[in-house]
Order: sequence, then structure tokens, then C-alpha cells
Amino acid sequence: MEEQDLLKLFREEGNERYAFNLIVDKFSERLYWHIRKLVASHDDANDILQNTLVKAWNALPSFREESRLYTWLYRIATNESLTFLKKARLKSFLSLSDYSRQLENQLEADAYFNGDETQRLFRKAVLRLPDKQRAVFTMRYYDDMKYEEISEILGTSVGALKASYHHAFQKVQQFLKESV
Amino acid sequence: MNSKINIEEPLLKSHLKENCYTLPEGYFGSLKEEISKATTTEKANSKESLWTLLRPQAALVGAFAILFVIAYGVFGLTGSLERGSVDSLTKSNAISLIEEGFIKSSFIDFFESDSAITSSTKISQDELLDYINNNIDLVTLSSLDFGE
Repeated sequence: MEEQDLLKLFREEGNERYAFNLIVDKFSERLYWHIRKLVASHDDANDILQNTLVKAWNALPSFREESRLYTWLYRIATNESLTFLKKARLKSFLSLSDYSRQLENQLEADAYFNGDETQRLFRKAVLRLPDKQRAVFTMRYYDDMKYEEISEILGTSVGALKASYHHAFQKVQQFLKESV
Repeated sequence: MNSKINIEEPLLKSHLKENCYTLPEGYFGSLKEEISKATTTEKANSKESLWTLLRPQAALVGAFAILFVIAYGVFGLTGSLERGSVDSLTKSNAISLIEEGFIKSSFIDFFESDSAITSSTKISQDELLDYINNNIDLVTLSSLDFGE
């Protein structure tokens, strides 16, 4: 079912929950992988995804369709992930680099990671990036999103995003060169 | 060798982009149920939390309302009595009320007190004649015209 049809169904009285279940079916997997790339651990990704969907359920009646439904959900998921990372860092009284190390350690110990050494190193390099830079890099590199789309999600100008991606790219490349 | 690494190189890129994370079995199947439960609880909690949030304000508004009603009652009641006593008096009513003694004014009091004096000091005719005989001489008496 198309986004428009799902929204139309959601707005019909008595069909809200049914329509929302269809939205969850359609988008939850993509949202999950987006979140998982940002926070690495499955448990954290699960919590963030649930928060994202609960927020979407509460806010969907006032969704004005100024953007695509998927973009809107992606924005909520990204904001939730960034907020989660910020809170987690503040909670553990860790600096950015120390918290990145903690994420790397989580990746090392993650039972739900089955990549090879190059993939592991690459993920580590991405986890070393500052949170927002990691979000930009993930959306551009993994998901091949256009800068205009990323701009809509993060509320940052295209120029700033290009610069951010360039820095992130250089850092990841440098880390791999040093580590391999 | 290290300098040759280029993460934009198509083969390496596709390898790096591979999803190397796994999930607990049946995760997405159970997610829908979890979300359904969470949204139901969220709705109930949001109602409860709204009331929790509004309760102190509601109490404050209630207290003010009670105070207002009491104040309105007190001032309104006394105000209406005063206003009623003035507004309902027409000129004729006022005169009749004054005559019947319900309203006392300083003006009325003045006449009342005067009449009291006159009523209490009534002089008899004999006393008057005695007074004239004792105090007025003959010349003055002859000059008085009694009109026969």
C-alpha cells in the first residue's frame, strides 16, 4: 500500500490502529537498520525504534504531509537516536572519544555482529565519528540518500552537510589506513 | 598498501555496505505487538499524566472560584440592600416613610425636637395674663389694639 493510501486509511475513524500496524509493517525494518547503524547495539536500537514508533503514533494525527511519511519517520528516528546518544554520554560522564571507545567495545562484544575484520574496522571507524557526523555519513554512504533529503531530515543546509560528509569520509579513510 | 584503501571503490564499498548485524529470531514479528501494547499504555498514561499535570491548577482555580463566590455573596448582598433602599424610594414613598417615622433625617429631627419643645411648654391663659400684668406697664397696655 502506498504512503498516501496508508495516511488516508489512518484518517478514517476506527481504522487508526489497523493503518498504523500497516505503517509499522512497511517501515519498521528500514528504520531499525538506520538506528542500528547509529547506535550499534541491538538493545539500544530496539528501545529507540519503539520510542520512535510510539512518538509517530502520537504525532501522526497532526502530520501535515509537508514531507513524505518515510522522511518524517526517518527524522523522528534520527532525532531519537541522537538524543539517546547524547543522554547516554552525559549519563556515563564520558567525553566524546571515550564514549566512542565504549561503542566500539560494544561492537566487539556484540553477539549480533557477524562481519569480517574489514567490516568490523569500518564500523569502528564510523562509531568514532561525532554523533551528527555519523548520522550524515550513514545516510549518505550506506543509504545513498541525496543531500536534499538528508537536509530535510536533519534540518541542516546542503552545503554544511557536504562539508560534514567530507570530514567524516576523510576520518574513516584515515582510520582504515592506519589500522589495516 | 594502506594508501590504496579507498572506501569509495565500488567493490570495497559494496562489501562495507553489507549488513553484518544480525537480529534475534522473529524480532520484527514481535515488534508489532510491543508497539501495540506501548501505544495503548502511552494513551492511558498520557490521559493520567494530563490530569496529574492539571490537578494543582484545577485546585487553585477551584479555590479562587470559592473565594470569588463568597466575596460576591457578601458584597453583593450588602450592596443590593443599600442600593435597594435608595433605588426603590420615590418622592411620595419617601415622604410617607418620613411621616410614618421609618426614616429619620436631621431636618425632621429638628422639627420633631421643636414640636416637642412647644408641646411640653404650653402656657395657660391665666399664666399669660399674670405675666402681662406683672411685666407690662399701662402705657404699653393702652397702646395695644385688641380690635374690640
